[in-house]
Amino acid sequence: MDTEANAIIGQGIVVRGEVSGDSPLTIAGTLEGELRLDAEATVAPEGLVKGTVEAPAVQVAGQIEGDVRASEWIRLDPGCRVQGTLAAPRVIIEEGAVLNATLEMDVGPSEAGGGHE
Amino acid sequence: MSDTVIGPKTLIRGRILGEDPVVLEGRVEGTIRPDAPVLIEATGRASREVQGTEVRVLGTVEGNVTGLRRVEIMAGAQMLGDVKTPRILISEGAVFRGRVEMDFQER
Amino acid sequence: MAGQDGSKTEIGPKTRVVGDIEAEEDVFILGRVEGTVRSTASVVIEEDGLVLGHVEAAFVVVAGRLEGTAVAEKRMEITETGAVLGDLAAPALVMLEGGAVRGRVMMDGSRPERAAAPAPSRTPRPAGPAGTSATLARRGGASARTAPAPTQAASRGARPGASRTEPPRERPLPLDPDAGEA
Repeated sequence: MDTEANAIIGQGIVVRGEVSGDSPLTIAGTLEGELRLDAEATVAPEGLVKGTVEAPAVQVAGQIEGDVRASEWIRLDPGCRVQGTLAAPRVIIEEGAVLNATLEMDVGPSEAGGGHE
Repeated sequence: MSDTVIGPKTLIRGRILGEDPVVLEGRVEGTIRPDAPVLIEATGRASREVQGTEVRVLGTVEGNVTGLRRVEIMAGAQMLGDVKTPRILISEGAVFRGRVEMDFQER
Repeated sequence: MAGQDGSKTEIGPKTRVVGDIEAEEDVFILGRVEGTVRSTASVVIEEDGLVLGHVEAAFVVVAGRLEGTAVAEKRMEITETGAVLGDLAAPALVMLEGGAVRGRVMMDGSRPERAAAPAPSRTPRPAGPAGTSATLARRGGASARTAPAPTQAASRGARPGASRTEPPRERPLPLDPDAGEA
């Protein structure tokens, strides 16, 4: 979590509403609402997001209930808990991540049409 | 070339097609019909239909066997069904009950 | 995982199975299976392997493509070449960078609805090598550099014992979809 985050929603802090910006943000507290970032968003192990996250890259070690949309990647770290929808070109799920979520990734067109009898 | 191997603890219900040789150590209920050789091992059991370029039986077949080039029924084999092939070998110790049709055109 | 004697079932790269496979040993799919694959051990869909249907096993590894549903009783892994179109359930799941899923992932003990498996598309795909476009799309992308370095957990990769996904072997692309129908 020791990225270049120059903004932190610290442990014990609760933010309700919309948060936006263009520098990396780490959430170690609670955010209820929307997060729109032009930089990497990190949900620290203690962090909780209820709502929507939109950022180029999202790293989750804490908890998310809602939708996450990343234009580049989403990484789910061990111990994270995710409920909702994840959309990104790349998603990495590490051992120990817990999710009950819908993944929206590009898997190409169905191949079920080929190979008729 | 890669084979298709049906292991001794596997049962397939359906059809096996394609171009890989098929080695049957387990069970198939249905059709084995690759454009390649088929080997029914001693532990293998095939029912319904087996067709291959060459078919060699050491196990059990209940059904019809077509060998586009040849069929070999080896010692220990149990064959219940008809065989269509231009060339056939039935070894001593094989059990075979069925008809053999040999005017089958080689392809 | 494997049969005690090391036995296994392997569906070759140019083989197509239409029907159901039930095994008490590892099943490796290098070709194409249309139906249900069940094993008390592992089911590994190898790179270039394709399953249209349902997979259920103690361990499931997807390095190829699955269209349908999968349930792993113990653990599921989607490798960097794996792609899943459909719903998955497993108590533990790992997806390496490059793997892709379009569907639900359930780790709470619920199971996918078999009926929810995607229906076969009515438009036959263009005659191209299976999955190439998706693979290229996933692998291309200039932003690949910005990806986070794999952490230890990811690079450890903890594969289920005997599963054997790695060797990127040189082999012809999977079945010509119309091959094999004599």
